[in-house]
Amino acid sequence: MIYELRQETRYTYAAAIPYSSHVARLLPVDRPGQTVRRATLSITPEPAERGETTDFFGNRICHFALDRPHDALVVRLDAEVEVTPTDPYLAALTPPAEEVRVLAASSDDLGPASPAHGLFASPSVPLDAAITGYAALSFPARRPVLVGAIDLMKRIKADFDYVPGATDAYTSPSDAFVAREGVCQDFAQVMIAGLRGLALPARYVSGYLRTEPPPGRARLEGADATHAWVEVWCGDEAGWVGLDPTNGIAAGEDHLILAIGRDYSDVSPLDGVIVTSGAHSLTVAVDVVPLSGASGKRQLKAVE
Amino acid sequence: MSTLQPDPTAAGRDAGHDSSHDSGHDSGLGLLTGDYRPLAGAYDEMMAPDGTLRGPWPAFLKRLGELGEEGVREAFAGAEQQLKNSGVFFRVYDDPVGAERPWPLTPVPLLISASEWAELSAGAIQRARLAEALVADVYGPGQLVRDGVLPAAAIAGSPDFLRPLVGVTPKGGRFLRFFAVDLGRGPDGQWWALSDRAQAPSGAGYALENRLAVTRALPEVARGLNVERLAPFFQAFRDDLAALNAGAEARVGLLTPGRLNETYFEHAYLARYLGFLLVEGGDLTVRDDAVYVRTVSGLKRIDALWRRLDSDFADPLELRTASALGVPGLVQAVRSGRVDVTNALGSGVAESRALMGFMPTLCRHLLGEKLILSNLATWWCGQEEERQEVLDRFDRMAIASAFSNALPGLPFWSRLGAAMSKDEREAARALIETRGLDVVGQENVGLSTMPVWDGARLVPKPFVLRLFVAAVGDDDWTVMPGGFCRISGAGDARLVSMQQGAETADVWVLSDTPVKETSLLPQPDRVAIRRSTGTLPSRSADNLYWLARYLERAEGTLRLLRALINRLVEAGGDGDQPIVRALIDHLRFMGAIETESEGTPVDLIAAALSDPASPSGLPALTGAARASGSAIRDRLAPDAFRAVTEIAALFEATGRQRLTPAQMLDEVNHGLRRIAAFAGLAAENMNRAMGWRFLDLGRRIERALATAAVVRSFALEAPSTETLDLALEAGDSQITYRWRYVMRPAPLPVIDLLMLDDANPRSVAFQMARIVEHLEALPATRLDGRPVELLRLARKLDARIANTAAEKMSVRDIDKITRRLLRLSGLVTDRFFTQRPSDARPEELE
Repeated sequence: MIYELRQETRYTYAAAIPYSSHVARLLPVDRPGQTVRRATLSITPEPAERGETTDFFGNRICHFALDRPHDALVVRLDAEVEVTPTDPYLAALTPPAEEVRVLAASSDDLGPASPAHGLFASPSVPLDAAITGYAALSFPARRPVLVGAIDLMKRIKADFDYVPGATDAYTSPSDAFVAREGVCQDFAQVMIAGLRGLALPARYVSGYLRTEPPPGRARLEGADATHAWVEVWCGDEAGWVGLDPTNGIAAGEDHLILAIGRDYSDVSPLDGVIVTSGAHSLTVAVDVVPLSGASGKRQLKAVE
Repeated sequence: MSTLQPDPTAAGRDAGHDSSHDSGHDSGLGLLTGDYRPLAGAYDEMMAPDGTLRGPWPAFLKRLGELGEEGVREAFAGAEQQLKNSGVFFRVYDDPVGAERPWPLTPVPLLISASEWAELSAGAIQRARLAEALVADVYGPGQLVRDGVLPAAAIAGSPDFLRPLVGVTPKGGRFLRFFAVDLGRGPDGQWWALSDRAQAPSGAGYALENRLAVTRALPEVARGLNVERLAPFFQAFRDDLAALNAGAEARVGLLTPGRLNETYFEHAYLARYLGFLLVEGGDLTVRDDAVYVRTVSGLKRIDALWRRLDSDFADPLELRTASALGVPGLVQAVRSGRVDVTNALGSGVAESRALMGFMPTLCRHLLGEKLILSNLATWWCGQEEERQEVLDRFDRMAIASAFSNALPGLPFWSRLGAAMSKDEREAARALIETRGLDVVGQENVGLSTMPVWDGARLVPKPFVLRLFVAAVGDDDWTVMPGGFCRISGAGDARLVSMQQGAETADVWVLSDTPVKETSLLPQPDRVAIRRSTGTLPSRSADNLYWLARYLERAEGTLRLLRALINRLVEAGGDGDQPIVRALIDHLRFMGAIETESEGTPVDLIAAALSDPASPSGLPALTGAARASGSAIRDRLAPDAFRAVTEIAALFEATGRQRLTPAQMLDEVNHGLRRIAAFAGLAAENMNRAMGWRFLDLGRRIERALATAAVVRSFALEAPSTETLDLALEAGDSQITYRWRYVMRPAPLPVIDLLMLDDANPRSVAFQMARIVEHLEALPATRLDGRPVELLRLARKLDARIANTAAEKMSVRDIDKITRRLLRLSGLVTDRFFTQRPSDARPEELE
């Protein structure tokens, strides 16, 4: 399936900002099952400096700085991405969680795909004994790790309410866990905290969902903005497997990966440092449509 | 290690100073070692279990003994005083008022003989080389993990493993340039490496200060013992950093988290000592991937940064996103090779306890050598066998975090298994079972003790010794011959009881050959190191300016309070006298007395002197002055800074409510004298570079504002002889007036003298002339050859005052002048301190 992907992020400042510098993690890259046919990032006003680099996990990073007073910043992504569904790995064939734990702890790979990076607490996902205890119920002895992870994902989907606005980007998984509600980021980070508490490698994926479902299927939660889900490492053979606890499904043809990291702080789509006393507002609009689909010509709609 | 076992020497006994037999007979040694007994089971640096004195100690004690009992006491007290005078402070983070407390120094140094030092320093250098090789591999080829020497998780688990830096080679090729290792000596006399410090080790500056204090207090003792000097070590470090970055012209910044950091004093001290620019994250900006410091002369390129800020705080864009301490874009600047950051961002990864168990293997693998300094035995529970070992020997081990973060769910960073509560024990064992990755077990090693002066006698106390290693040349290292010795407050000599260290001691490395007579360190100010006087960071200028304004305002307020107390006493305490009421109204107008406050004049004076809530009361003003002063400690002479802290301390004391007017008058006069002392020190000790101009600019603007307000209140609206007298007194111009006019004060001459007479150093006209002078001398007050608004306004105001006649002066004129002075101050802020980007173009790139 080929998707046309558009995202517009607009900051509006109450007082003009004289100088600001930013990092955008908004450009998708080729990954297994995903080919980026075209991707451009346009920034208004025109940055004084702009550069690109690839981060540790292979994400494309765009640095830019604005050195003229500006009261708005618009970052717009236009991309065409092809998603080829990979055959789902048979969950029952993955090694038991106990084995995965040992494999991960003794891994001799420090590269971006290493399970070692998914083992530890990270800036936005501290470990939490209550979440670990909750997750442990999905992993009785000798259960294959992916079977356990799918069970955990489905329990989170069932036990938590999807409530836009209930949390923000800085809500900790512990708070979301107590409230039993949140958005995709909270669902993902609670699941990551639970897996890591059991010393099972888990990481965070930011990306997009197809905006309108194919005929006859329900619309997925989180399609209006950037989405987030989880990858769990299931041993050397299966590797990282994407699970979407917000929707209770494995990541598949409807999921477009933007960036991968340990948690939200590694993949935050747009970071910036500005000096201002005034307030600012943010709107994000996302559209992901099949290129040949009927709704391909729709206008961007603003959310948030 | 055998050579590290110092032989107990018979020298003490031979010299007849064996304490166990001679206590009380010899005035010096008897006092010092008479009832000194090593702790059972611990190695004592000075005394063997049988009471004989070890290695260099007899010679030291003999020289000390020559001072006599009284002499020793005086010398020891002198060391403490010396340290207080030098302004050594450290800040206690938890202290709600952020109070600074003197760093406690014990006067007896730790002595290390030449032979022992040779092995210790070789061991320290080896650890530095090992840490360098380790960090270089982790951020470079990653061979150690790929070859199975290190599990990936032992690196990935460290919060100091900064993924954005993987693959980045530092500009200078080296990751570490300033390394430290903490050592302890076990009961068998063997030294152990307790931990490696590769992030941003602190303590070298304190070691330097301790050395100055102790050698000044014990000059003869130090001279006779061939104590190795510390200065060449710092010179070597400094020269190397400079050589790497454009040589003598290099602009090196010492990046500090700021004055709230507990070791800020050391940052300021070292910056001053080494001639580095003391900078905070907010002083720096990254443009075109290069680092610039905001100065009053615009943006200036920084070639190298000596980082005293933990790496993950260093860049809010790519590292810890919420950090307000860092420099946005610093990682990108490092990546592009346009700035050298020492130690490299991410080098803290070498500090992990998880790695300690691997050190012997790593040393063989990376250096092809055997470890000289053995490690504190450590088991990382991320490995199966080690995990089992720790669970089996749980009670006898110290359970600690494997990395630099806290143990999840446990209230301690390190605790002996046997010392845990039942709950802690269960939680710790459960953690080890599921997430052994986060935990290490460490041998509960005993520490050696050294003699510590408790005010009356020497007592043995456990200590940890930190050694410092600096990079020189392409592949060489040098060790500071000395160290930072932290002494435990506890009598328990086990490592696990050692907390932050209650006291510190100097460390003397003794040479077998005479050290040059110049071995006493020169004054830090006189170290022949060039510093660029042209680079005044905006933040420093801002603080100098406000320091002067606060102190000037405090002085003006004190003068008004003195006048008020005098009038009150003259009136026999009658608060209804018009002059008393007028003065109180004026003080309210100036903010020294709160508008709404009520009470007798004595109450109001007491409040102005001691109520921290009055916005322009003395506690608020002098406290703000101290805050400004501490933020620029590298710019102020130690005496000048001490004067500022003393002024603030004077008005911190409470209980003035009960003072009589005469006592309050004493306080006021005391305060005025202290402020005059600061002004004198600042005038005498600051060169006439830009820093001084900002200090003086602040004083002039504040004085002009205060004088104008006095004229408005007392000379313009229905003046009387009494109010005019008061105007002259508050404006400190009585004597000048009497010289000029042999008559009672009259309105026009008073207005002329205080506002317009440019020969009177207290007049507004005089202040304006100085302000214009300063602005003309300061950089970049002109754009395209034309004066900027700031200078235009100052000149216009100056001319306007010069061309006004006293009889034309009205309240409206004064208000207009006041408004323009305030605008002037705002423009100074815009131009020099906040650096509006449109004005601040980077200087031309080399």
